[in-house]
Amino acid sequence: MTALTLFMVEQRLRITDSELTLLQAALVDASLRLTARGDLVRYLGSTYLAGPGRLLSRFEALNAEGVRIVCESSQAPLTSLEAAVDLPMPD
Amino acid sequence: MAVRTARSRAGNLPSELTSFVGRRHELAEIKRLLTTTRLLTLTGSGGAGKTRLALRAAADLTRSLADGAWLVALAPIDDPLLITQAVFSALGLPDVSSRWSLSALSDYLREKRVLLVLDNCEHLLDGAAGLAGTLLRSCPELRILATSRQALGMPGEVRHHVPPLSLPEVIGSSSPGQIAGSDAVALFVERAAAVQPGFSLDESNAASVLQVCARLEGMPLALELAAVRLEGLSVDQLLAGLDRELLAPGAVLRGAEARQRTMEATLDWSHSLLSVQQRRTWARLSVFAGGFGAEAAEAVCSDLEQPPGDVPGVLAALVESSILRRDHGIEPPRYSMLETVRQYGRRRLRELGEELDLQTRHRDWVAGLAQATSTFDDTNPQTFDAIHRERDNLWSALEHCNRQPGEAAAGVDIAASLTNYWMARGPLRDIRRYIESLLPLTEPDSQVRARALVTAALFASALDDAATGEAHGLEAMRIAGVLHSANVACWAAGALLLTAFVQGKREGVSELCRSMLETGGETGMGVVARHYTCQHWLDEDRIDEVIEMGEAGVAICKKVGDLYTRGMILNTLGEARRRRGELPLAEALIRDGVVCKHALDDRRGVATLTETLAWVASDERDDARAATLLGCAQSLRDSIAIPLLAPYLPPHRACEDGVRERLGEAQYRRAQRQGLAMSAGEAVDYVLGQAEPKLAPASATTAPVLSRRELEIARLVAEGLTNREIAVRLFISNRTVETHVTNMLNKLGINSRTQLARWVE
Repeated sequence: MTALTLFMVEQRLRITDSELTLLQAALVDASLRLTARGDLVRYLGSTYLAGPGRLLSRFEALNAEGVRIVCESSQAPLTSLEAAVDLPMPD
Repeated sequence: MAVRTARSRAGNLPSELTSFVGRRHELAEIKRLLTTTRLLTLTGSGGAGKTRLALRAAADLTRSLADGAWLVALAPIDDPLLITQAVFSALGLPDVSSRWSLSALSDYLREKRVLLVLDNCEHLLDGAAGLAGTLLRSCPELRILATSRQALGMPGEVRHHVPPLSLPEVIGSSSPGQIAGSDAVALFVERAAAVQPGFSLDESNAASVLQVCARLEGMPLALELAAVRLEGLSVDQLLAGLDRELLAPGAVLRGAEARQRTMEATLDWSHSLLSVQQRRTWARLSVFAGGFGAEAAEAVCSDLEQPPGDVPGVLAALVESSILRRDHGIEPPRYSMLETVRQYGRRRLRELGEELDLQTRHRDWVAGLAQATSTFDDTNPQTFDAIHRERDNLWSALEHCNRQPGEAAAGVDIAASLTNYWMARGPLRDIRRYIESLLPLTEPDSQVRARALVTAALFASALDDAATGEAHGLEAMRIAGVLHSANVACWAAGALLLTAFVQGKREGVSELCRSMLETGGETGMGVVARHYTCQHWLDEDRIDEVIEMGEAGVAICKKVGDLYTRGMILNTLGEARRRRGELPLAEALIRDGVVCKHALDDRRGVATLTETLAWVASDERDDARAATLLGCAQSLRDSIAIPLLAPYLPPHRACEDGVRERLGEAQYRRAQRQGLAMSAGEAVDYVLGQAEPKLAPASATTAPVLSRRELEIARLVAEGLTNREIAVRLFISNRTVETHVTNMLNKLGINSRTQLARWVE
């Protein structure tokens, strides 16, 4: 099985709670659509920083391009897309 | 100055240039499917006639759509992030909001009964799917009809394959009576008659016509391209020519692959019959996105071998050959190509080795338009409209500058020259993203970089991101110091002043105003300097100085023809006169400002001026009008999804509180609702005193608010229609009607349809 890479995406947006729900649904739909055609992208969740208006979303994917396509299909441009390292709490 | 006529439109479907032939069953099926599904995608090969079929179905359905059917052409767009902008543009809405664009769009469409025709989605499948999914989720009355070579691949999407036109069932028969009923033959004969008057199907030509249609597999575009050749060829000669192209050795293909090959071969054959000059022009014209006029074709496609004077004749010949379509509804006329034809031309352009050269010429032509738009003269409205008509070409040139090494400076020049245009009509987020994407491509400490930073700063501040605006502005000011350039410092000061205004900052503003005034003189920048200075002095209550400076600013604006800034200064002057208690003069100034802004279709500007006019009406104790104007201003802001800027909030609240207190809550809400219910055009008419508000029903003062759709259904209930009849009439499902009725009963606190009918009466 091919290993998936963790990606962190930043989008700059002024957005309300209901819009966040709508945007999240768009990201989920797009991830499923790409995965269904073999370009595996898994949306893991987002964190929104309301002050500066920054949305940070986490994905697992085969490559960055799939993540870019997912995010752009939500019609919200990316500020950055980077491979990331997860640091879970040590046991 | 001509006042733009306020009008509301219910759709933008183009008129049909030629008759629509056949497709009765497909048309009926598409219309039936659209009553049960909200996303229907017409798939099929290029040239199969998907667009034509979609447009005809949409046109047939328009009467049942309260808010119309709208064509969104995606072929000219390469960037998936520009799809929302394409929809805004098709709907005739400026996109100047700082919000997530899809959300702003879904707010606009939420209660509208609209059909969007998303045409040519194949190269933007993911973006189109993302847009469709979000809109369908949040807009219950929306339907989408997409055309694409491939389906969007969404859950709930219904796909309808568009086959070629039907061929005679008995291919062996060549009796005119037996073959005339097929759609393919009917289309061919009709188009042939258009170029060869008197042409009809008879015993002498039926066999050849049948063979032509069969060779072309009933592909409508191929049939049309072939039929126009009958002007100079007989049907047999046409057939022989097609056979040479289509019966290439080894070309044994089936299904979609065969149809694609047929289409390619027909285009090859059409191409081969053109003169060298016509072929070259076809290839060169493919550089345009979204159509072009004759002057543009001359500017971009002519050279020493093909002088500009030859271009009109070549365009006419290409129209005759069905390579180009001429839109008769627009003066001066515009030309365009079907996407399949344009893509073929683009391949030929590459083969000629001219693609980059033509892209550069196209960019130069767009830069010229942008320059004309930034030149202050009294043609502002026309130049704004001209660049707006060319927005597909504009974005195509901008994208070229971003992609092509060494072109960033040209991209900055085009984007910056159009700053006022973007501010008025947007799309602000997209142009901000664009200009910021050029920043890493500019030379450090260069004038180009400073100009990009200033432009980015203005857009960031307008989008409520003053922190970034300030950072960009400060960097531009630093570069001005490095370059010892007073001009660059003047631009940077303008950017920092807008940032300060949005943030409500006063520190350092006087110095920035002073330096900008010194450098700007009586130029466009000098006018902007006067505008900011007036705003700053108004904050400091230096009313006499505001009036003196503002009047000088307006005089220069009139001299140089700057409507955009003139509208802004008139707003400040009107507010100054209001504070001085000179209310009739204040009102006259503000109305002048509205005329300026409306002429540019600057809805943000009109909203700001309308707000100020409400404060004047409140001071005049014309409270009902003040409340209606507050509603108008809110409606205008809502229509472009922008908030009231922070500096305007205190006087807004003071006005609202005063009017509410004097009128009483019920009367205030009723008057305000009249303004809220106005369209942008109606609001402008009202502000300019050309229309009285429509009276709201008496019950509106106390009744809970029903949505527009609910009111529509309530009226039909009152007419005695059943849910099923209402569903058919309104082109929605029975379940949707039930839900609306239930919601209305709950909102109104009643429990029967009879009571609902009485409430309406």
